[in-house]
Amino acid sequence: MTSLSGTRVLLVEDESVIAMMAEDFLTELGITVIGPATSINAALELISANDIDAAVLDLNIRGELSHRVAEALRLRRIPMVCATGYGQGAAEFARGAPIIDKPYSEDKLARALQMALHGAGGTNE
Amino acid sequence: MRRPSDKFRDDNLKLRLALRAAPIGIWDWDLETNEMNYSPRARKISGFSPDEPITLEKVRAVTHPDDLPRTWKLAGMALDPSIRNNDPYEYRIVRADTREVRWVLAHGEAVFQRVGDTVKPVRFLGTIQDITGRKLAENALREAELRQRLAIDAARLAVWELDVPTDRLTVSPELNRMFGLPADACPTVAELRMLLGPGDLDRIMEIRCKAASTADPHFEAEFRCRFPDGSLRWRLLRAEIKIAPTGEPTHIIGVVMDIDERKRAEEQKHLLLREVHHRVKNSLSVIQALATQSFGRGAADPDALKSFLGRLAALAKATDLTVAQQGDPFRLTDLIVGVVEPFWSPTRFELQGPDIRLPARLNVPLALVFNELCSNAAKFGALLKASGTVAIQWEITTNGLELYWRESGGPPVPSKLDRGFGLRLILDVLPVEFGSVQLDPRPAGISCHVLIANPGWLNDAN
Repeated sequence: MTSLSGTRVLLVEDESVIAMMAEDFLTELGITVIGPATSINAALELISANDIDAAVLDLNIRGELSHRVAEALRLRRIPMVCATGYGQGAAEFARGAPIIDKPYSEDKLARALQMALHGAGGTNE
Repeated sequence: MRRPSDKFRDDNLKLRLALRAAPIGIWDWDLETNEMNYSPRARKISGFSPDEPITLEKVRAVTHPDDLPRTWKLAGMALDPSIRNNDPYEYRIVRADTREVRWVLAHGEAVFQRVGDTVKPVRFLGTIQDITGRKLAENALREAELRQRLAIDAARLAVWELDVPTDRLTVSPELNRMFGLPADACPTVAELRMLLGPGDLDRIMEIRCKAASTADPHFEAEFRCRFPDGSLRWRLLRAEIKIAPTGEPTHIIGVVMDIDERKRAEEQKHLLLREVHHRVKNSLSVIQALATQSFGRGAADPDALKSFLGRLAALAKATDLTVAQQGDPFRLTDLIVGVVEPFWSPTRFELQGPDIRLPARLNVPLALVFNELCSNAAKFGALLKASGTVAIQWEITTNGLELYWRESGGPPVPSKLDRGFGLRLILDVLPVEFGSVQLDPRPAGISCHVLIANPGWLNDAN
């Protein structure tokens, strides 16, 4: 598995406690965390102001689907991982991007990020 | 050439034949002598004996008291030279012999005579026929129609019929109500179709075509119709296609039902369920985050934290499954696949068993059992080694659902397992909810037998 160490990952998560945990997961993986952004506008600002390798995006930010963030990421060809509490309907949103169900573990997050950055399984490098 | 007397005899014969064929009695009232003459058939209909003298009083006595004023008035109109009414009329009699109430049909015609300047009736004669059978059938039909009408009203149904070749529609007033139109509107099919919700017409036509091409010509479809205020209301259409011997549909008869309230309640329930799901999943995520922050980074035993987070993940999977099934029975395979997912690799697991469904309440305890088995295997058993495998097999027996978990290819298993929380959970706590669990730590690999006792759910859900 390719190391994720050194990559810059944007974290978009409105639930502060979950954001804190996700930040710890990412830091333990050697990732530089951009954010966490707890609102859609904050996320959009961070996207335009930073160099980002990948993003972990919560589907639902303060009751609103984070479509605008996903669009901004796609425009810049930044791969993303979609985190969701909804079991269904996420596939439509993600359009092929890896989906992780909340609550997710560090392992699961790492695997999904590998997949987003390097394709299926993250083993093709 | 026939002579007039031949013709008279001929007519007379025809009349007698007709009278004999039809059960018609003849009555004749001489108004000058007040003498009544009843034919044998007329006597039989009224219940008079074959030879008793008939009087006006007797005739009035056999007429049903409720119908007497009307028949008396009709007779008056027949005998009035300026009216000379000869319309047939129906009334009830109470038979003189049996006191039985019967319906009769009478035709009467008066014979008038001019004396000087005045015209007066001298004779009133006619026929009488017992029509009780027909009346009863008519009443039964009317009552059946009434019952049907009441049923249609109570079910809030609108009935319609479509002539397929011309696409012409016959509707009941209720259909207008269903489409939010004025009661006296006469909408065409095209106009009604314009009122359907987006895509609904195509869907209905597709269902109709499918029905027309199968042996069962019934079909039903839910659709929305746009009300004048712009709102969309849910309706259910049920119909039967009548097919000509040539195989072409000739017409379609159907009903439209108001299911708006039901659909809205369903939508509401669905939304609510999703919202609850979202909140539950969010709470589980927060619990996970709190536990990670509280007990992570050396604050507690990392293994204990990992076990706890695994249990939480299994609980979240079980919640997902409940919501996806909307509280209906879930597929055992879905549950197993969901729970073993963190440990999954195609070469490690082998699943084998019939496709069966289990009641929603078993979903959490079973998810926790599978999670414990998996995490135990990952810590001490087959999943510790890359070569280790787990076979999960299940079958339905007279005891219920019997499930076997068999590990192989792992490190040697100690004969006595450490009875930690995980083992207590699957051996003592959870089985109370569904049946029993037996763990057999064989040296070649852990083996586990799960019995889900059958209190009837196997038949209900499958």
